[in-house]
Amino acid sequence: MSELDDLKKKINISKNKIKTKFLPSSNNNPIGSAFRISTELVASLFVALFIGWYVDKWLNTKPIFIIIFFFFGVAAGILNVVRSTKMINKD
Amino acid sequence: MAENPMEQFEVFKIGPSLLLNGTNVSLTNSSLFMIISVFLIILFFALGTRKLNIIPGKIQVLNELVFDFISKMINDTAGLDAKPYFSFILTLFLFILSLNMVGLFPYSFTVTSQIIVTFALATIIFIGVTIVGFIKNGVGFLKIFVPSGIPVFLLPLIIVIEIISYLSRPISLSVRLFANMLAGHTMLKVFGGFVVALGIYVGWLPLSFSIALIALEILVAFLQAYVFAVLSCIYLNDALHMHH
Amino acid sequence: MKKILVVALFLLSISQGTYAKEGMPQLNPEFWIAQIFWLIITFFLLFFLIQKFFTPKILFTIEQRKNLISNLIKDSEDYKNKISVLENEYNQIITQAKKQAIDESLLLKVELNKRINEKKKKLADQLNIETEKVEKEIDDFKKKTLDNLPEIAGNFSTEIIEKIIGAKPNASNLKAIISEITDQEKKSRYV
Repeated sequence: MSELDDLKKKINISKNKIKTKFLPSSNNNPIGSAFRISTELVASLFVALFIGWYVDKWLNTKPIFIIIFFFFGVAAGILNVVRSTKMINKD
Repeated sequence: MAENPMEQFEVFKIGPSLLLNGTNVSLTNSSLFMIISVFLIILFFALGTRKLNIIPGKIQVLNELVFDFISKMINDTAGLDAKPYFSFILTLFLFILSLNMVGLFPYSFTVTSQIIVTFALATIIFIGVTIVGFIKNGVGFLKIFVPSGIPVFLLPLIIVIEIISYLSRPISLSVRLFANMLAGHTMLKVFGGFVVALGIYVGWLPLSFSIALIALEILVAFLQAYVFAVLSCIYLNDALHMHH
Repeated sequence: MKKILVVALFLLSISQGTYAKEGMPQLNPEFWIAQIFWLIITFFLLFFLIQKFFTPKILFTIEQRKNLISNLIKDSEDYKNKISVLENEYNQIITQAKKQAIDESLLLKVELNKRINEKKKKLADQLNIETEKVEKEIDDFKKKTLDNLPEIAGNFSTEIIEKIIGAKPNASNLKAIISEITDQEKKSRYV
């Protein structure tokens, strides 16, 4: 019985060690770095601009849709950023 | 600087030209390092599973560690429903990790610093996740673009924004990996060039910086592979359990 | 920061259409199809191998180990229960035995005391009888000795005197003297 208790204690100590040693601190969270906002923003903008450019080419309305979709892109980017920060905070 | 730091990303043909229906699919240095990375992973598993024991050997422990790590990650991000996709996520993670790590060796080539490769990978995931979403939810998957509790007159606007947001996923996924690998390797090359240029008396300063940078790059190589896998899981989670 | 820089560079080079030698060699589409082709081949080959061989193998081993461990835990649990039952039984037996031993030893003590007392009493009785007997004998002997004393003393004195003087003393005189002394002696002893 005492040997079992010893083992339990050892396991707990090791667990704590692992916790303190290997768990990333909150400001170095991998998920946090996954959602680095810059890429999210730029990617949305890029997609929106591409769609705008393509629609313009299709309808021959040169700068109109690219401008409209620029704003859409910014909005989508902000949406992405908000979602990302929500997800980081959830963790 | 003696060399152009971008030169390391040059893709060139090795061996004979291969044509498939008139398209050039020749073996390149990039393909070669894909093959090497895949071979390393296969070797890793083959050695680990050569003699499976209840009490595992050293490499078997590593294999099981990787399995544990990925299955935990999938459980945390996508839940138990994502279990059938375990092998895919595992493959994805190990493939990217191996490509990143192999790329850190001198004179090797970093496949993940090719935007087309990361973009193709992200696209595979994007298409796969979309297909899974449609299989699981049918046409109802389109509701992912229609958030609840939005006034009707704002709906078209929001739908366009949501579609853009959805389409931006493969872009941000691929650009994140690509940019990290590209930036790290460019900086390594630049500082390596400084070491050579400054010579033996002053060169140790950028050299020490280079060493620190390599340590950082190893971390980044792991982290980016992990992030790529985690984000894939999160997208998969969106497709499996729609919460919009 | 460096990421923003790289992304800006990336977008810049796309918009200007500067390829290969000048900017980023990644944007030279010469081998794009080839890379995608090989990417799909290698990636799905790896996926196939992992899906078909490695995952089942390793998951099977992990499952087996889990089963083994749970079985072992169940076994040990069983053994623990058995051991606790046995321990209880053992404790019961021990307490019973202890109780019995105490009872028996008490009984024995009483018996022993009884027997010892009996023996003691017997011995004391016997001793008393013997002592009385011996005392009586001693008294008799004493009496006898006192009675015989004048005669012995007479004989003894006659001998001594004969040896000293060389002639036989007058017996009647001697007797008278001796009886006088013994009387005195008797008196002194029995006062």
